[in-house]
Amino acid sequence: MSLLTPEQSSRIAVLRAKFADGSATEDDMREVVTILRAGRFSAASATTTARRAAAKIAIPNADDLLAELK
Amino acid sequence: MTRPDFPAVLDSTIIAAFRSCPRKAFMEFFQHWKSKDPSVHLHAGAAYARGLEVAREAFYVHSRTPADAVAMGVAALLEFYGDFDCPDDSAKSAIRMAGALEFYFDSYPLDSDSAVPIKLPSGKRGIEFGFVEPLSILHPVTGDPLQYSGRMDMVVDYQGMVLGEDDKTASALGASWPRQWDLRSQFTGYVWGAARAGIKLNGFLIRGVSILKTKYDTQQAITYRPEWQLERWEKQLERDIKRMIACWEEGYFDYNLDHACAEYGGCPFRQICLTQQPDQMLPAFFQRRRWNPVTRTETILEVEE
Repeated sequence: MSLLTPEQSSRIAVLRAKFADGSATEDDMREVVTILRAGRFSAASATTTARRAAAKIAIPNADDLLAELK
Repeated sequence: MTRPDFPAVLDSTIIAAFRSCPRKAFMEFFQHWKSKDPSVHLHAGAAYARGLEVAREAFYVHSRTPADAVAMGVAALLEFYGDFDCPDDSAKSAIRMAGALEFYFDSYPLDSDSAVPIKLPSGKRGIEFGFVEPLSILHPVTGDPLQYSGRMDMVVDYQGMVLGEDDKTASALGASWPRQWDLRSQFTGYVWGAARAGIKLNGFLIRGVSILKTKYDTQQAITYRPEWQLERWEKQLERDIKRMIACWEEGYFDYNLDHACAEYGGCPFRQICLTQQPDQMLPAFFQRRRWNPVTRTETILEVEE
């Protein structure tokens, strides 16, 4: 899943229409790739952030565990 | 309906269908019944293949920059995909497929990819290499040799080896993904066909891209086909074709009535095999379209043809 912003999604829809009617320029083509790549990195970043947040909650403090044993 | 013609050209799809369920092969490739509901998998896959082909042609043939070639490939994919209505529960939307293509060329950059399409004897680059080769079995009506056709995505030089190359999309790429190709008839047939066409392949490179919920992933696998496996493949192919001819001459194609009915999300003809009036059900849910594996075009047929 690419986390495209509403603006990015709208922009791609406009560009797809240009591809369909043959009016797209090479700059338009390159712009689509830029948007897709930004969406992919954004999705990867969001996944990493979510994992970090979950780990922070789940992992107990080792010193606290040791203190319980004493 | 009169007995349908026996195909003059066979390919891996027809043979795989016959091996899985002869009845399915009959309905789909002899009677040419195809589902009226378009398959998102087929459409998205074809759009992806189109994008790959355009990008590779742009870079290797027309010497465009990698960035321009990828952009042209993505544009071609989106143009091909068009306004196809992707089901809500499918990941293979136009944007997701375009993203998969962008991811592919980020993983395997055109200007540093180890797999480089070779120059074929014809002078053309090994991009979308197809073959049609005669078999030793004759057509039951015309008496001409039956033909076997195939088309691989690329023929590449990969670190000194000459390999065929095929791109796959998948829902997941686990540890077992590479192992499924070692006996896959599709690739044995490609190596056989390429050899017949004068191109000796050392093996086959398969590249998979998975489209996951929040990311893409990729794996590569190389599978080899020694000569003895090619000989076995050809012998088995001939045995299967003889069985196919026997079914056709008898006028009865066997049913699987087992695992094939539920594989890959379920056989599209499942509802036909569940009814006692298949001839009435078929036109309601299916359309007759003849696929030509050589020209790679579909022709719509009349129901009673």
